[in-house]
Amino acid sequence: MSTTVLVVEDEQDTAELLTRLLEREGFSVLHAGDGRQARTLIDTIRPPSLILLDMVIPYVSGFELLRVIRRHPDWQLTPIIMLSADDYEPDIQQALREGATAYVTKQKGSAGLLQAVKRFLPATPPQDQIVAQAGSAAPPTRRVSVRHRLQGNQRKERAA
Amino acid sequence: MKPILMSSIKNQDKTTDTRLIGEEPMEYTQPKEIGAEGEVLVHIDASFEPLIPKFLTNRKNEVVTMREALTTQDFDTVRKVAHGMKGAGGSYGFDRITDMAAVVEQAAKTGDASTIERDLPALGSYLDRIKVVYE
Repeated sequence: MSTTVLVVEDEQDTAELLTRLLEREGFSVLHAGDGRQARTLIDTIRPPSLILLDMVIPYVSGFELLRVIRRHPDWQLTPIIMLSADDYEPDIQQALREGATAYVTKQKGSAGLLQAVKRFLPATPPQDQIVAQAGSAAPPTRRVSVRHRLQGNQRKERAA
Repeated sequence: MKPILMSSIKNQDKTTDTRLIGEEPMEYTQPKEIGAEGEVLVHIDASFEPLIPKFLTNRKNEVVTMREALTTQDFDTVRKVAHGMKGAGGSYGFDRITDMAAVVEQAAKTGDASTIERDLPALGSYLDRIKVVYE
């Protein structure tokens, strides 16, 4: 089983680039397109090996999610790389102060991001990183959006 | 774990740990060549080729969105779209797009319609002239 990275990114092209980049390196990718989807994942799955968290996302900001994750009993130790289109120094310092493991500006390009990812992920993928939703018999998938996951659950509930 | 800051090149003097800042790879090289008929050549990693046409189409559509928003003085929409374009451009290695979008975003923050009116056509023109070279 490969190492899983949760990408929280609302800009679709950027999310696709990150997914392609990470999958090319052998990582499994979960994608949340906004803060609500990320909250749902945090509440329903086991923590991934790493989180890439965009600062500016709809509904729940990156800072708010950062605080939620750092208070979560299961997720609090998960490395978080904050992503931002800005290099506004107060935001950088606040992110690091509130528990971000690293801060990467998108101007670094995906190569810079990949450097950071490889720094924080273990060399050998852990065997206990289960990305399937708790209670689901379905095998973990390499790339699952929250929307698809929720839709699948709703179909199961209707069928039950 | 000690937090790591990977900031942009211009902010390296503020960086608390620069060990992760390495040499810029070829796939993110700035366009330095002018192709035929004013084309701007941008070198991109070939593995990203399937993503590039949609990326460029979406950026062109965003220019249209910002133009329409500007007609109603909807600076908030202009700001949000420009911010997204700024990040996407940087992620893909289209640094010029990022630079131009950043100017538009900043102008939108201050309600500077004249700057936006001046720069959006330039951004649109630049997008039209991009020729991607996959390596």
